[in-house]
Amino acid sequence: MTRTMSVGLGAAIVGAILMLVGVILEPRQALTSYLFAYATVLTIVLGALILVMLSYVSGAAWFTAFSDLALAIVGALPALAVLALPILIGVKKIYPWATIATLPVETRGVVERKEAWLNVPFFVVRALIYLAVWTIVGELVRRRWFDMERARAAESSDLRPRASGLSAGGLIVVGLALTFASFDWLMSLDPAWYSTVYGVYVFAGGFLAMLALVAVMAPRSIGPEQTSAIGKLLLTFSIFWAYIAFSQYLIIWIADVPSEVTWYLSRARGSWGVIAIVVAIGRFVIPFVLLLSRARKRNARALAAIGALLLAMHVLDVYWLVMPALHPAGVQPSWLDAAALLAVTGGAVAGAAWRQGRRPLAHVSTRSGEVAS
Amino acid sequence: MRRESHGPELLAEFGTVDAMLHAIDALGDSYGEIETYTPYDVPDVDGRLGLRPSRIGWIAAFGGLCGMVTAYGIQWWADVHAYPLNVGGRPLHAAPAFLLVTFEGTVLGAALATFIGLLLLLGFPKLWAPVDEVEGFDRAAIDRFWIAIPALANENDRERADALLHEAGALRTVVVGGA
Repeated sequence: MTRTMSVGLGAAIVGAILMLVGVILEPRQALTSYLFAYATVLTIVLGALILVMLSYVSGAAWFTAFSDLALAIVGALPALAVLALPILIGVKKIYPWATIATLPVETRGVVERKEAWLNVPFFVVRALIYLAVWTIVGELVRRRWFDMERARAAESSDLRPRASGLSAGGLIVVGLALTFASFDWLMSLDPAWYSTVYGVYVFAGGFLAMLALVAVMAPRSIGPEQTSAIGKLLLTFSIFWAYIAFSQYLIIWIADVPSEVTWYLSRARGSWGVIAIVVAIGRFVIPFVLLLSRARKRNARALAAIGALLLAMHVLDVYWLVMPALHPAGVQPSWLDAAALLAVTGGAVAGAAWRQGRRPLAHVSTRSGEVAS
Repeated sequence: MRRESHGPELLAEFGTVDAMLHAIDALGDSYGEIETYTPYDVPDVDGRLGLRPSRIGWIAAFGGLCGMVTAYGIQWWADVHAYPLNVGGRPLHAAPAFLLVTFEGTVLGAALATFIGLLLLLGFPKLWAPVDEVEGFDRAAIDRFWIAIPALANENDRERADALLHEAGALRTVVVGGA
């Protein structure tokens, strides 16, 4: 057992015990906190899977330096599939649409019309499909990668075309499953509200956070050209996230329809409004200005610091997406938020570290400095 | 970036990038400001010549800022002061709606500043330089690599530079410009 794995497992066990206590004391708070933590980690891991497949489809050579790291993150998917259990068991506690009678009268009619989609058995079946799609594609991509590594070591023919076919198909199903899961698991927290761009928003945030995680964890042996590739992607996806977030806000703000603005009413006022501004500044304004500099994009330590900021902002953003459903009046931090993060992150890290074993996170050819930009 | 040419220059033609880089190293920094002419961007040259990063980034940023302020300002002036219209009770100063045009204005300003700034930095409207008179210099845009150093007044120094260039693998050397 590696050290990373024992640390992750320890955190998961401590978190799980705290969560058990929490479920008994405040079940709704505990399960909603768990959903927040789960969505935070899951979107990062799915971002890594999408990055791996994107690089296979586009034949990106720069990515070789980060492929081991990204595939190690993808290795957390089976563990995350198991960690989804509390959400599936707690559907009735987490989601207002599961108990329509508790909804305010104005929205009850709208939600009743959505019952064909939003009902507990169908929700659970769909969730199992999403989890199966991600886990199977993730495992196939990982296996293909190890085959390619072996072929490369034996200097046999290039296997990239096979990986690109698998990745092209995988991108479509993983993307669809991610979009539908974000509608099901996060958007339906406010069952009367909808936004068609919501799935892209969740993807953009997760992908940016994953790039930030790669920037933080990138081995020190990586050269400035590869570092700069991550820097450029961080800048790109910081802008992309801001673009998607602003599109959604502008369309809802300018239409000003009562059924649509409700979601922003709780999220843009009072202490939730402060969080929204902090996220907008920390996830777009600051990284945008810092990442304009070419020298900074090539500096691994500077990128790691920006990555740490972006990771913190990702946690805060998912918190802002999930928690106003439970505490619409204002931010109400709970010790269970931290416990849930500890449990899910620990479980995912332990799962990924177990799959990784003792393999290094830096690609062999990078260590010998063969790979150019 | 083209420097102002004041006197005669010593030109050397090379068949490969490596030979040219080798020559730059061989010359060191005792021969003034060295200029290179290559068919494509050679990143290694910047460091060896001690070039500072181009100023074009700052010019683009300044242009973008001007475009941003102008675009926002026009909308603010038109919607709040000149032609105030009540659109479904929305505020006259509708910042989210203004941001779209502000973004486009920023891009336009940055693009124009980059285009004009680059032309000016490159020496426009100067359409001719002495090097253009050298037979075969046009191959600097195809497959040859050229170095230009300010030709030295001292006969001995010039000969030594000439010898260094040939030693480094120059196909030929030419003196151009000046009196």
